[in-house]
Amino acid sequence: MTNILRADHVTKAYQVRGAPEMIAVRDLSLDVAEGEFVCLIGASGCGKSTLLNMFAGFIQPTQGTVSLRGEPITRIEPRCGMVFQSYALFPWKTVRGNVEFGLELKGIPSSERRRTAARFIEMVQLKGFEDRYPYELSGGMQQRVCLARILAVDPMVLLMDEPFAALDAMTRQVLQEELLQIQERSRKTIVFITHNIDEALILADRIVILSARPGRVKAIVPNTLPRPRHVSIQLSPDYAALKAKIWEHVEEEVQRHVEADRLMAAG
Amino acid sequence: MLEAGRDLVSTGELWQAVLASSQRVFLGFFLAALVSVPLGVLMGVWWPAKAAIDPFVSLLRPLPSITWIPLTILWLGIGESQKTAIVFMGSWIYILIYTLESTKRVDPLLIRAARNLGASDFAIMRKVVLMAALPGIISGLKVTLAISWSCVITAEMIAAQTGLGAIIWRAKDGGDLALVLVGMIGISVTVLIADRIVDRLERIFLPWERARRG
Repeated sequence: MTNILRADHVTKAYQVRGAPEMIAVRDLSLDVAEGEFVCLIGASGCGKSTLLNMFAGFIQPTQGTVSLRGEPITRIEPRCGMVFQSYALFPWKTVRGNVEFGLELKGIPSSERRRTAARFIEMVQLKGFEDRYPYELSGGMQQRVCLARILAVDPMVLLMDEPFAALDAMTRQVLQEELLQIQERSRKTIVFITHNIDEALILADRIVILSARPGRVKAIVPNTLPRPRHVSIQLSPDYAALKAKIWEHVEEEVQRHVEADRLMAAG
Repeated sequence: MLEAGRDLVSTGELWQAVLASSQRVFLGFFLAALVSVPLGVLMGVWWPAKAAIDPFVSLLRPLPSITWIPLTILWLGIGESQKTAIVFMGSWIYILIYTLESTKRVDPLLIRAARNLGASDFAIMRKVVLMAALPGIISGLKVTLAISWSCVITAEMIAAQTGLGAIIWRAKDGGDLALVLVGMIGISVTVLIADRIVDRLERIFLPWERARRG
């Protein structure tokens, strides 16, 4: 499998006024293969979002490069489509309007736009809701619209920043199941940030554990649970073993992060 | 007072005055909005535009519309265009300021999401910032409309034959307090009706705001 996304010894430092330089990630390297589902997991502030934002081109690395199919990402990259935790739906547009937005920008004629949008709206189980406004939808439905919106423009890579974190556990489970199906059918490359080890085990092919700040790749755990996968995989015996392994890595970093926070508060 | 009012209404004079004043207000207000809304969005998004225009705004803002009367009379005489110009001069700055503030309040995540979907700077301005700021802009327009009305009344009091302001001023010269009151009520009622119309339009053009307004 070819690598589609790469972070090469990436460092990101922020200058905060009146305070020492803040290093979000240091010397972080990661390869993502085409068609794979990678979960990034780690304590707060370990640079997960920073890395994702660099892949999307919202920020540039201070050192090192991030690249898409070998080309360095130096500005905003629409081929790395992002799904945000707080949805970012356009409140003045209907479900259809939101899903068509990216297509409209590409100059696609309105009848074709409508057809394409209808397809993706149906894919996320929102048929019948085309004319609703975001304020009329639940959180889970809003996130589905975001998914449809970004899939409609057919990005090379899907970047998802804790997209289900704001949802209740049941809705989250439903959306995880739907995302699995979508990924299985489309074979999209997905980089998915989560705090939730269960979520990572359900969704990912590989689980990348990041160290506490400054973020580095601490460990990569391949997910050996069989595919096609369903949420019920949580009941399999191998599941517990994998989860324990990942928790071991994550726990260490969480301790480190808590310790660092304590020192910062004291000093 | 009722007699004076009935006189005006029966001769159709009151209605004509309302029409005359309204025309001036809406033309001046509409032109001010046409200029200031796009300008405000541009300034809100593109800092070179803001840097260039800010000094003018600072200089012109403190000048009440009355102070523009001599200059406008000089340039445009005392006809319709001068009244419209007074309304314009008194209104455009406020629309600009409200628009600017509204664009600054747009959720940056929406802009980020739009860029991620492939939007250019120009598309962001037109399709995202303007739309997201629209409720705030319209609030600003409602407030400025009231200001526009006070501009036109002032202008009519100083140099006009027709309009509600003119009626009030003439009545004052004749010592006719009742007529003054009729004129004032005329203004109140007209502005009230204008407000209601704007509210109705707002409901039509901003359907997504129904959530907050109920």
